[in-house]
Amino acid sequence: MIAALRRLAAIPGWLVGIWLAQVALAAGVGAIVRTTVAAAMDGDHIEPGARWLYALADLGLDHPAIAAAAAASIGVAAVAGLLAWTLVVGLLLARLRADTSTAAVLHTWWKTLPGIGAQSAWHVLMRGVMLLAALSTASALPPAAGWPLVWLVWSVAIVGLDVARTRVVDGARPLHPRTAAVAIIDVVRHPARFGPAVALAAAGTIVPLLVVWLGLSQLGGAMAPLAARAVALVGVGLGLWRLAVVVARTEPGDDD
Amino acid sequence: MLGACRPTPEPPPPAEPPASPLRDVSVRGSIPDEARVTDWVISATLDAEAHRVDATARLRWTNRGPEPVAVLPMHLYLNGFRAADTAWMREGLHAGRTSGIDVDHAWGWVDVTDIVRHAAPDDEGTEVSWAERDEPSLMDIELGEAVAPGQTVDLELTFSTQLPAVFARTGFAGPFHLVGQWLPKPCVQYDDGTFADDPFTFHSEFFSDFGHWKVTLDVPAKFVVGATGTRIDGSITGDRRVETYEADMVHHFAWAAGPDLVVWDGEHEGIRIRQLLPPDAVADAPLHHDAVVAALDSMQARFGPYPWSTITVIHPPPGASAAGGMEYPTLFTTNRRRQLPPLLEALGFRDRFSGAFVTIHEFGHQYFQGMLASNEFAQPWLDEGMNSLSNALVYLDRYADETDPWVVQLAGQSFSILDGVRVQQRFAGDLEAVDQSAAGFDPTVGGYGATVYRKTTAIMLTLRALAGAEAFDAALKAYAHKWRFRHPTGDDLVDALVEGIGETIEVSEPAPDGSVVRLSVRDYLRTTLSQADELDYAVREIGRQTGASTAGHHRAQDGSLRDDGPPSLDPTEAFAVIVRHGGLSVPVEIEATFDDGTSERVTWDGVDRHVTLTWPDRTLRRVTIDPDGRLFLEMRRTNNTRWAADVEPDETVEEVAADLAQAVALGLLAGVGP
Ligand SMILES: [Zn+2]
Repeated sequence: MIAALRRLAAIPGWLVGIWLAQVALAAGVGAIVRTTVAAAMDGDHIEPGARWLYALADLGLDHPAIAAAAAASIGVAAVAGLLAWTLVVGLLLARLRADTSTAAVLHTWWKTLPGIGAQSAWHVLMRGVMLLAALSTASALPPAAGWPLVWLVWSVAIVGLDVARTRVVDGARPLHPRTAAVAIIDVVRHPARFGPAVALAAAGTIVPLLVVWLGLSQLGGAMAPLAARAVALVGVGLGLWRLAVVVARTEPGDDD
Repeated sequence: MLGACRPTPEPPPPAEPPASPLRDVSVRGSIPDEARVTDWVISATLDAEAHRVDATARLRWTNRGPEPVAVLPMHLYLNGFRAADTAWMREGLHAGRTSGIDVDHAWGWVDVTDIVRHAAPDDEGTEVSWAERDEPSLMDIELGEAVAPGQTVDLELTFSTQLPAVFARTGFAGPFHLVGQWLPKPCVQYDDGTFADDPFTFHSEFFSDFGHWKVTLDVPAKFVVGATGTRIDGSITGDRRVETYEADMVHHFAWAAGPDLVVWDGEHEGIRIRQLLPPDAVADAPLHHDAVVAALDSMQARFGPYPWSTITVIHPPPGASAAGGMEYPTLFTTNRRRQLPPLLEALGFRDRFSGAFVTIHEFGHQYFQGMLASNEFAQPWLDEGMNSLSNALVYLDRYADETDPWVVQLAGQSFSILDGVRVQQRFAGDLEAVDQSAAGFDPTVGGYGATVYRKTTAIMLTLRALAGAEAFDAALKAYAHKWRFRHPTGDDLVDALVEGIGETIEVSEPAPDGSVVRLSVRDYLRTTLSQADELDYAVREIGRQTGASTAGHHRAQDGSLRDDGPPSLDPTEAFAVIVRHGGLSVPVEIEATFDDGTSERVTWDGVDRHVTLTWPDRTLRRVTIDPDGRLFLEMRRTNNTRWAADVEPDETVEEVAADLAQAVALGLLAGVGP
């Protein structure tokens, strides 16, 4: 864990770069919504000291297009983020794996790009099946046990994807679904090895909730975007740490 | 789906039912004798397999009118569900209320098979004839010899009630039976002797007279029974359970019976609060008990003592939710509390609405309809709307010690019951008049709820804010006191409010010239209740313009032209143009804030379509219409404020919306990687 953290400290640009990209994408969404709302209000304003849930409901009822514009821009940002991350993750994994020249890292990245794409696609299917199975199992349990189970399965799946991608970088069969499946099974079978990464993944799943909660609770406050951005930075840090741990604990060529 | 973890509490030990259906006279006050019109002795047997009730009812009806009565019109409410061409079903099919209908058990009806008129308690009696009308929710009984004013007639009716699979209020779901409007009932006779023989339509509910009820119910032994009034007798013989209930000064008797219902007995001020719940809803019992107590406390203080000794809350089991949210005397059905997904709970979502509101609303009908028994066909706003007002007041009373009494909270942001009144009017609350009969509302437009419930509430809350809560509350209390156990009309309510509040109220401080803006209470109520329209003010423009000046040439006393200087073209006067968009008008306060930090309020009567307000030698920062939010009828507030073009507003909705969208986007981005 600590070694992985040290490894991460050697590449601070990644942390800042990914975070800035997220902040910029989100700020773009904010700008679209701000412009749309300002155009709809056309010089009108909500009175000072407004109750924001009411004000937003009032606004949404007058201008349903605003909600559509917000939802569409948020959706586009999320899809863009997902695609960008899928493109970039190979580069980061190659960099974490070996301290070689930039040219070598770029070469590995380019070579493994189709494999990482394929593994991501296979993984989405598997994660969907896992989630359904977890939900149906959990619904038979008391909620206090059910929801932690869903949370655990989700976190295991996240690390499973990390392992599959890492193995593609390490030379595993890039297109075969077996690579994705074995990765998930290995995470389950080796809790001592992958437990820390799963814990980091579980911690990371709280970040989106916290970001949205902060955004809501700070409505109209001066800290609104800043607090959410600070938590997002922590989220990027947790994610990179998790990847570094996975890379450190996945031996090249151990996928069979 | 999964829900948050809540332990299921143990029900309290069963309690003996109160001995009398009414509370002690020293607590409840006296009830006028002339309110008693219909007394009933009924014996009913439930065939739980056929979902049929076979009954005989001995009815003593008193002619309270000025003329002899030879034909007694009766409601056969359940026949509204008998065929696709009844008044109820015609509208219900339009409104899509029948979408959940079980086609094999769609129809319900009440079939009268025999009516005998008795002259003495034990005589053989004589058969009388009766006939359903073309609209089968009504029938007429030919009494033979007319009943003189002040005299009574004893009728024994034999009838059979077939329940439908429940899709609206009454019916069965599996072995659960909600037996609502199941028996023939006399139409209410007005003071002039005419009868309220209105059909049963989709939006209308019920209208009946008060009296005493003694009802014996025969059901399968394993069934639990909940009913209007108090249980005075009960026994099990073989596989049948027989229970007798007594109720007094109520205008209907409803009951529910089914297996596997948990009884949760509670008590408040000597009133038995009895809940019947399916096992999976038992965890919610304390929530509903507290809701009834909150409603009792608020409404007894506002509208006088609750007169009966019991209130029974039926929680329909799964599959019977269409029976939920319906009021009957001393008994009502409620709805489930929503199970929140933990994701929402993690985002700090809390609500005091789900489940509790329906209980507060249906309890409220014990006053607004149960006691103030207005005609729900002719003026549904008088019970649904005034009850909705009282529900909002229950929330304000219950959470009076909080600075921001919310009904819904999300991450610490509050949404109040009053916000809800405003927002909910937006759903076609401007397309129908409040004061019209239930049959007048277009079921396809779907504005009934927004108009009857929410707009009535907004009309009353606005008047309350303008007249002062104390005056308004006192007037409403006087109305409730005067019309207890009677049949008030809309005019009676308007009269009571005018009498209590005054013909006119002053809604502004005197202007410098001594003038005061006044509101005629009667005109306000008449127009807002009768016009299908909305109230909406907007700030059209604010800025500065060239003010009045005496520059130029004027004729002096000596006849010469005097030069009073060159024109000043600099704008010196602040102005604001306020417009009225909606067809309704109410005096409205307008707050102007100036560049020196001071502010000033003026009141505009709102009669014209616009007004231009000016302030010489001032510079405006901002203008806000109705700054205290007193006009609850004004459903749109997004156009109530403008800032001067060169001023940066303190906080804007575009910033807030952008921050929120940004946070959601950032949250999603954090979720997709790394
Ligand atoms: Zn109601």
